[in-house]
Amino acid sequence: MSVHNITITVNGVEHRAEVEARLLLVHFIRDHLGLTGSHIGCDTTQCGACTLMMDGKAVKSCTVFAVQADSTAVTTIEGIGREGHLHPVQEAFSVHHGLQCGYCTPGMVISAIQLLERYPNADEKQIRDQLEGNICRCTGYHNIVKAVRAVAETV
Amino acid sequence: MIGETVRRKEDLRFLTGKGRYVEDVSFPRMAYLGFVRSPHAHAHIKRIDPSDALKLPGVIGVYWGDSFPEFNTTLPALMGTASSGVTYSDPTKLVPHPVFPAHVTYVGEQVAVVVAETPYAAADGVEAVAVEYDVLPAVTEWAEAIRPDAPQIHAGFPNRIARLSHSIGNVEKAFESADFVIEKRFDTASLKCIAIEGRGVVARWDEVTSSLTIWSTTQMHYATRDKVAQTLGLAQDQVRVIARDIGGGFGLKGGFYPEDIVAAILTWHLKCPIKWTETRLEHMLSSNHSGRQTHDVRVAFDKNGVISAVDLKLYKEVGAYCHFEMMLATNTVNHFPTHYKIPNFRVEGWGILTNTACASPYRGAGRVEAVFSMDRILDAVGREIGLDPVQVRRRNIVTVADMPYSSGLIYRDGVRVTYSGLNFEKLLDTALERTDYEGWRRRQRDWRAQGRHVGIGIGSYVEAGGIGPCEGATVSVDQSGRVKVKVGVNSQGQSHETTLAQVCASALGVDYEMVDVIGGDTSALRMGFGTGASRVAINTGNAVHKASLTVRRKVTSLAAKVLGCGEGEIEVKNGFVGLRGSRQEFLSLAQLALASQRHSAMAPLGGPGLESTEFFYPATVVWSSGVNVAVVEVNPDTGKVEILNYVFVHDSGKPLHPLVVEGQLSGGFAQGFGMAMGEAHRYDREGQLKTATLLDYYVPRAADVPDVDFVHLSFPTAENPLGIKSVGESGPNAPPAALAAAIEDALEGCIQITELPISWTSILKGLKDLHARNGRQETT
Repeated sequence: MSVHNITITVNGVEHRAEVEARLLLVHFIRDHLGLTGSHIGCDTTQCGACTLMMDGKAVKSCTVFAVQADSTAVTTIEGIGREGHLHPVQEAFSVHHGLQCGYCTPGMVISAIQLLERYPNADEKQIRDQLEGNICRCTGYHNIVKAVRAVAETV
Repeated sequence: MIGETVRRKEDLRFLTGKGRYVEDVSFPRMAYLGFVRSPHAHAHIKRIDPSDALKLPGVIGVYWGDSFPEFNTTLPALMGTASSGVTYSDPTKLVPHPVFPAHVTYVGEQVAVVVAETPYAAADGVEAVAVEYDVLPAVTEWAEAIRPDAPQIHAGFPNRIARLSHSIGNVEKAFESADFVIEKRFDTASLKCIAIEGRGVVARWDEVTSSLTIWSTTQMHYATRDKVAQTLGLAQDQVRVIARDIGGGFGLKGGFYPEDIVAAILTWHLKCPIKWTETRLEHMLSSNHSGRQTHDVRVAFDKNGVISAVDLKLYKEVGAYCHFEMMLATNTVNHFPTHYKIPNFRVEGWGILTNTACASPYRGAGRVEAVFSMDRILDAVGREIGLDPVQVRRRNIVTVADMPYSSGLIYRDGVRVTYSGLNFEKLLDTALERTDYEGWRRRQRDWRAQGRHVGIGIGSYVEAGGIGPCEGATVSVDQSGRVKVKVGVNSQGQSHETTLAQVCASALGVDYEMVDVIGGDTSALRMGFGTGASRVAINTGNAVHKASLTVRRKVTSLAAKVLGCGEGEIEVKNGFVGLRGSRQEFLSLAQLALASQRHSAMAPLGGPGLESTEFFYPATVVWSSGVNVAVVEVNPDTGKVEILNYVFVHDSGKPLHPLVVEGQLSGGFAQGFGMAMGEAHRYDREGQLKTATLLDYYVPRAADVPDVDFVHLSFPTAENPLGIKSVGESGPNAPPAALAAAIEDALEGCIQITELPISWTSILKGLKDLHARNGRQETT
């Protein structure tokens, strides 16, 4: 198994590492950098719990190799808002009860941020379609859609 | 405070990625497990050769069977949910379930375990272990398993491993004198919980203190503690199980799994922290599923559509072992009548072994199967005599005047099932009015003339919740004035940290912001009985209420002594103690907590500290109920089903937190929707799993789930001090029945839906028949 040197900027901090070619980006983020907010929920790229931003695009980090992320800028959920200064999407999720167990939430928040970047006034149908790649088993999506819609309406 | 929609305490850490799930727990020198799993559904293990695996970099060891004496143990059945009274079941001899069976009985069953320095090395090791099997014939369907020539899955045990029976009234007499008798078979596919987080465990043995700490995704942390302690010969308090942030459970994390024991045994022997988390493939293969269930029903009724008798034969696939005996089938029987009268009722049911993973409770736990049968029966009765589905229901419904109503059923806690304080007619009327039933029927007539296929369906459910034996809580005021609530249950998303804080704040007289709830830790409280069966709000909620009131009494007594007044003059509000009347003197709870450490007034009050531990024992279960009405349109070309309107009326008692209640219904609804529209866990004849990934097993997405119109009613109950009911398993029960009925109605009887999930090909066939009947030209 070949080993490679990579440089990835994560949440504004540059990291250099030596990684196996087969190391998944989500494992690099979680195990090498200790950023455990991105979660793993499947092995076929279906669930979206691992979604993070890579060079401004929401990607499923379980389906990206760490070596593919060389020289990119990654933003994980840890780089989105913080206590006292939540991102409007995070705030709306809490106000509208768009999360229960919290496991799909980081990926869902990042996907919601991306969809609002593309469709600032997204209506319910657009929101549901754009969130097809993020599975939630707890909420039935009802309040997730409400939360994203609430942010869309303030734009 | 109770009944308010407050911001959840859990949200901040979950929204910022600071939750600590099992996979997030990490220690230096941690080793990782990879399980070698059987590719055969039924086989004897002849030989295990670890030599290639042991050569790989990072692999520490490969273990199985007799590698350690502690592996020779049996997984406990009925994980702390044993029924305590008279049930319908025959005494059952259960198959012992070894941790590393030499005789494999399902694909995915664990055969050996690889311990490695990294998770990737563990996966490499698993692939390199060579296993030789003696493959045996497998049986994966109950009808095959009960044939006299079927292969016996476990020597010494019949495949028909468990039986229940119950009889009310005289079914034979009712059938003899009935105007009409219909027979139906209903079949519901097995389901997987698909919690987005899989199962996992971290186990860490501390040599210095001789103690074991386990982080687990279990819903039954005390049962896990007790089994591990017993297996390793430790005292219960030498084992601490932490099961806090968990990414969804839905019942299936309530089983006891071999990996939990294996991890504990390995850390004890190898003296390093051990971690294992399942891949999604492992979840599909080896985690429990709900178990396929088939009902053969005979219904007797008169020309007015009034049911006089139901005869039910129930077949439950329980998988390779029978961990939960007949619990799921018992739930089905006790929920079967839902809102309706079955004066003569007879049931005989069997738990049947199959070469598949084990069945265990999944949200609904037998209730959905009951509702599906009962509502489909009512619709069939209506169709037989040409009666509108609403009318059939009105003629059979248990009315307010009938209550308290005992049908003759006995809940699994041994107490007779009694409906009291419920109002099924109000649920039905509210749903019909909210959806504008008459309006839809008018539009349906017009649209049919235009070739549009629109249908309306009704589903009616009951949910028994709050089963005992009991739950407890310790409430204490810290010297900082913060209040700690320690409970014996854990949350997989149900918002316990929020709702239980609301209960405490209300009863004790403190601000919600000052209350911290700690659950999911066996060191927090001495005993608990698990999160499941919709039991936490009622049991733990009332325990928190009781303990908070006791602390409030201590506060009042001590404050009266400190302030030199009568107890009747003391007022407790917003974390402060004051006096009624004109004397302006206040004490904070923080000051009182400090004072309580040395004040002699505490002598008759249980000693220093403003603290109390109380347990709540329910008399029996409390009944929630609801009615769903679905309006669907079936696309005449594609057969795709669009939901035009969905009304969900429910009574879940007094809500602790209205948005949390709605969230529970919404999530449950999506699972019921999935069960109707495509979820199915299926094996082929050789026992190979056909639905092993999320590509093959359908899970509803945001674009699939319709908008639901929730209508919240609240029928009061005096059955517990807080007057609350359960809601956790209310969501999934009625959607399959309502959607099936609506699709049948849309296709004007050209389809008869008796199976879940509803198959698209059967809809297409129904469409074809309908168009032929209507003389519509088909283009192929």
